Amino acid sequence: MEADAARGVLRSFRTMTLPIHPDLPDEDLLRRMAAGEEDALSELHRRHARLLYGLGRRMLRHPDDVDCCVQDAFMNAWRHAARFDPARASAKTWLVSIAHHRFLQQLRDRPDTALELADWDQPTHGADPTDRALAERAVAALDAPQRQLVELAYYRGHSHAELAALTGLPLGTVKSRLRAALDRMRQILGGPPNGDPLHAPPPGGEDVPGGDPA
Amino acid sequence: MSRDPNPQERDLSLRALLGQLTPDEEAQLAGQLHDRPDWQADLDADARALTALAESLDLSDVEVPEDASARLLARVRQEGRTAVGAETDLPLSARLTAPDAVTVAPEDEAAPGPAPMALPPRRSRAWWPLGLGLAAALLLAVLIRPGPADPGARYAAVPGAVQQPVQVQGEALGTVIRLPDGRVFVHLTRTPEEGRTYQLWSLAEAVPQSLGVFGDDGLLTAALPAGAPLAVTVEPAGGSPGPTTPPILLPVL
Repeated sequence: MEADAARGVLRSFRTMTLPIHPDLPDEDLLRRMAAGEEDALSELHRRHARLLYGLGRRMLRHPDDVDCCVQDAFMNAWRHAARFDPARASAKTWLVSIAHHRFLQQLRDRPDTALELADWDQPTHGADPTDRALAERAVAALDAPQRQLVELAYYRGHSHAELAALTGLPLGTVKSRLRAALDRMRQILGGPPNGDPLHAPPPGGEDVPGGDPA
Repeated sequence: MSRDPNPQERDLSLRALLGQLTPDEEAQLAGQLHDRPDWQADLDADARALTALAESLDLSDVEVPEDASARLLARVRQEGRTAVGAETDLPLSARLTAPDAVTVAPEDEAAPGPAPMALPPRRSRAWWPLGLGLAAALLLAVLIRPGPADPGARYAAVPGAVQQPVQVQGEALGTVIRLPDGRVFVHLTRTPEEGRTYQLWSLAEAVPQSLGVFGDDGLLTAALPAGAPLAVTVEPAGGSPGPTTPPILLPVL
């Protein structure tokens, strides 16, 4: 029957996958994932699992929680790959946002997620200047109070009100500092990749910018 | 038309990116963003900036478990794509479609007249059960019960949205709404019985493709081609790899 023949052709088509080229852009991997290609998911995992585990470790600290949530994040990316829109974000931003969302859920599911300000620790920066250079410059461009707030909000999921309580700052100040921090980072990320003195990191270098976070 | 977001709006979208909004606030924001490409672009730029925080982390001593990839693939094969697929899996920023799609889709705005309950003129679907009306009516009587009010009002209010009722044998069972950017919202007014869920399928291919499972809150799809044939079945909780019950065909929009 015609329908049987069509089904056979479709099955053949779906089991036929092209090898994943190592230079294939992440966005193409997501397109292939949307078509059900598991090899594309494996490649995306190979490329970005370390980043997600690193983010998870920073946010959750418990290795078992991190592993579980990173797996969930990749599963969610797999299931929703068809919704990825390259016109709006890079694949990495999309994937990190999904993982961050899952980590926040995990943080909030914990019975006690209370955090003292003293728990905030300024993360160190990597030595590899090639892959993360622009991101590092963006973060390094923040002054210490801005960076403290944005990291507490992003890594710990604190609300504006919680940040105000933690820091003793007025709520309006928390909001304005967060906004200023994001705008500063956007300025760096949207600017020329290097050589523009307006976008140079602040004095003190890129490794430990801004001094004492408290 | 769009305009740059004001400070309050920028604060709202930043709170969304930081996971600080309630589900209701998030849904409201999603509706507001729909017609505001400049605001969406602002949110996207914030999302990119926040990603830089992750990218700047020192990963030199981060170890990925050796079996992580294998476990992931094993899970994919066990659960399939349809096991969850809930809107809440994704942050708001990952759910929105491109703002350009809202404004550059003139053919979508000239939505053709609907053909309620008509089989879409697609080929290669001889496998699909026929005589669906009676089967669906029986299904509805057995498997679903009255549900809450229509949560699709905010989608219906979007300028340019096209809405049609979902009917089986003259009984109104829900609503399907096509937004100007091609996304489709489906809501049925009855709640699947405990342990069951609705599952939405695209019938554009020879084999139905799951678009996700949903319950009382309905389901908003990604952008679909105009006239995409869709159907809903009632499936065990978590969904099924393929339809296992008679389908309710949706009006073609």
